[in-house]
Amino acid sequence: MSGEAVIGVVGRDVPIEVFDAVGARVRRLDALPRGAAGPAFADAFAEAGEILGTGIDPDATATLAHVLADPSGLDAIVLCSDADATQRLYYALRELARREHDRGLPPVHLADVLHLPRASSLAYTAAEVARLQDALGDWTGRRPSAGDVADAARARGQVRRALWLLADLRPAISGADFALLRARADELAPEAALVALREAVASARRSSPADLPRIALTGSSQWGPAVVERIEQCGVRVVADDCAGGALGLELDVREPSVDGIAERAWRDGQSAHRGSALERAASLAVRAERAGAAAIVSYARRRDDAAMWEVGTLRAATALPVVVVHEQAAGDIDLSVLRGGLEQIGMLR
Amino acid sequence: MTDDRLRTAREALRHQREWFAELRAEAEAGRPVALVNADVPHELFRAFDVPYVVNQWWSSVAASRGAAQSGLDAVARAGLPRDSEPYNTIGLGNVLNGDADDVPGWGVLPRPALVATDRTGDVTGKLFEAWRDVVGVELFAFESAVQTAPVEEWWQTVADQWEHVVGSRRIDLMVAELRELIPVLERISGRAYDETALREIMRLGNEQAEWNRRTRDLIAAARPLPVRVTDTIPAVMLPQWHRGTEWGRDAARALHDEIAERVEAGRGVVADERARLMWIGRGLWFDMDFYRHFEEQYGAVFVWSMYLSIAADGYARYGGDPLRALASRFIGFPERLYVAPEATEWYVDQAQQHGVDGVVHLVSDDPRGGWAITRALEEAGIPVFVLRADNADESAYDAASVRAQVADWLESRVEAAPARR
Repeated sequence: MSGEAVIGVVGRDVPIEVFDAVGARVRRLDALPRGAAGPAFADAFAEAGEILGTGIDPDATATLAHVLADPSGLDAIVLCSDADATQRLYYALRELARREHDRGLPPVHLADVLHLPRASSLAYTAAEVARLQDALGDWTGRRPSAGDVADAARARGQVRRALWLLADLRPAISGADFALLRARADELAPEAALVALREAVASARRSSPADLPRIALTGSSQWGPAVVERIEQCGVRVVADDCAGGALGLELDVREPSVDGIAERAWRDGQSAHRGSALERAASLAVRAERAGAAAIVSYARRRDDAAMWEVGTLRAATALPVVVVHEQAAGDIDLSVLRGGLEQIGMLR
Repeated sequence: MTDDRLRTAREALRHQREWFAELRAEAEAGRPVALVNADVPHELFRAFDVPYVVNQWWSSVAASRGAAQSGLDAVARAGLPRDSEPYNTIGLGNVLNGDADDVPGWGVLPRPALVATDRTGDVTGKLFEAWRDVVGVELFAFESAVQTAPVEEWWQTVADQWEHVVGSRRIDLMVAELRELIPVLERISGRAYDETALREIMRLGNEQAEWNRRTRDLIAAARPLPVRVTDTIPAVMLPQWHRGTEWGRDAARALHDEIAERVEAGRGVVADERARLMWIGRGLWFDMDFYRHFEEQYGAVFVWSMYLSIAADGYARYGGDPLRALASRFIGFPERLYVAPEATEWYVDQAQQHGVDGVVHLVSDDPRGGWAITRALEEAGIPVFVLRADNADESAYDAASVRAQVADWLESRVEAAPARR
């Protein structure tokens, strides 16, 4: 392969360090605009809906639509098992690539990272991350040395720490700006990501925290700023979250800079809405929200993205903060009348 | 109308009622019982003589006896979602309701001492956590790792070459989990793990699968269809929940022999069989008259359901370490039933083996791969009607509308004519 390989990535369980180690560029397919206009996309969205069916997070349908509308420019696609929708997307792409060669779909790979707290799940995950490295090696023609992997693990750890720092600077930085930087960081080489993040940290430190009511966000994944931006249009600031694609897991470091160490971090990083324990997540978010000065928690979920629904009761029991529920939402969007109504009801908005 | 129900279906139902009454009595007397999902290695529970109720079996009973809605209401009162995978959630609600959910003919689902599940999808793990966190029951969860290198025509080789078909890495993973479950079952049952007992249970399960295979092949070849799908489902599935027992094996053999008698006698489900249909998906538990309606109105008989055919093709595992063989039996069921290419190739093969004229494909929200299955069948020249419904929650189901749509499809695509009046 000539030039820099570009690999589409979907889901939070794909370890980005391995891409850095082989010098491949990541394009987050789950961070592409959800409401892209144009007849080609509309047709692709309809077709993606036929393929994936109605019982799936519409965000996955939007991701598939992007790939169907224009698969060019991707040397491969890597997905994971972070959510049922991501797995279903994998199965659909695998079948399309197998059966319909004229679509020009690139090779598809699943990095099946597991999270149960058992040695067997860790061992399985380690083998999966090694398999991912082999696949990336096949696509890029580059077999990284142990030193390359260690460098990549350390560098991506610095990026993660910078993002964590930035997450804690909300509300001096808006939730939407943080979400944008968070999604972009995976797509940039670690050095470039660090430069951008350090600038953002410095800028946030120069700013005064916005004097707006503060909320914490939980529920569906948030790759990119679209939904957070809409929420903040209500005159609130998102200052904490435990969303996939948000601040969740940023505090977890690679303990040993190796392929096994990268796998170990990915295995530990399992407290998402879809894979984590409702009790542990609720306890953790309650602390995050209180520390960030949030006055309420918003539980946001897209239609048929059911994991968050199973957490609301536990969350309400774990915190004295009011919980505003905005579920059954479309991809990349939130019904502001419902959100405003909920926030008004608890006295946050008037 | 004469009552032509299979003797073996009646006997399976009688045995199940007796077994469940005994289980309830034992639970009331303090014996620990388990509630397990269908895709969990039941045989290990049997090896420890820990009685278990299969979650989905209970849901089908509760749904068919009008106890699903009260269970789902209880789930909602507990602050949990009422309509998120209701099929897997009903038992949780029934236990929350306690004695109030006394299911006619069956009684109350006892509170289990242990629940066990795979973690397919986003909700299964969450709802079983609710068993632990809301009801206070011990939980054991298995990972659900994905097959990334599907093997063609798995049903031809899986019984003997299971290590290859299922994949050693996934088997290693589940065997390690089974080794963690063993001390839990030892504690609950007060018994030590006995590999010889598990071998015997696996042997009996294999014999049961062999009888199911013979039965399936018999039905596939028979003209006219000798038995209703509404009969074969309980006659196969109730013994399936007793897999690994002599009763289960003997029930499968008795089913075969009874159907063989009917074939020999030339008996058909309907006098004038005009269309042979395949039913893909879970049973429509709250509208089991659906099937008979089309037999009577169109001479359209349902010759196939996954319940008999997966029992025929999916369970036998010969040779090797019994824990590895057991793990390989339970890994990958969702892929074989719902994911291309494993599921699509199998359904097309089964449709062709049974000589079907059309397929009614029940697509609920949670299974994956409905699109690929429908496409594969249509490409093979087999018309498909996609019925979108949840098989256990009738709240959004309009029986008259569904029947009218199926009737249109039968007339327009299968070219089946309605009965003359």
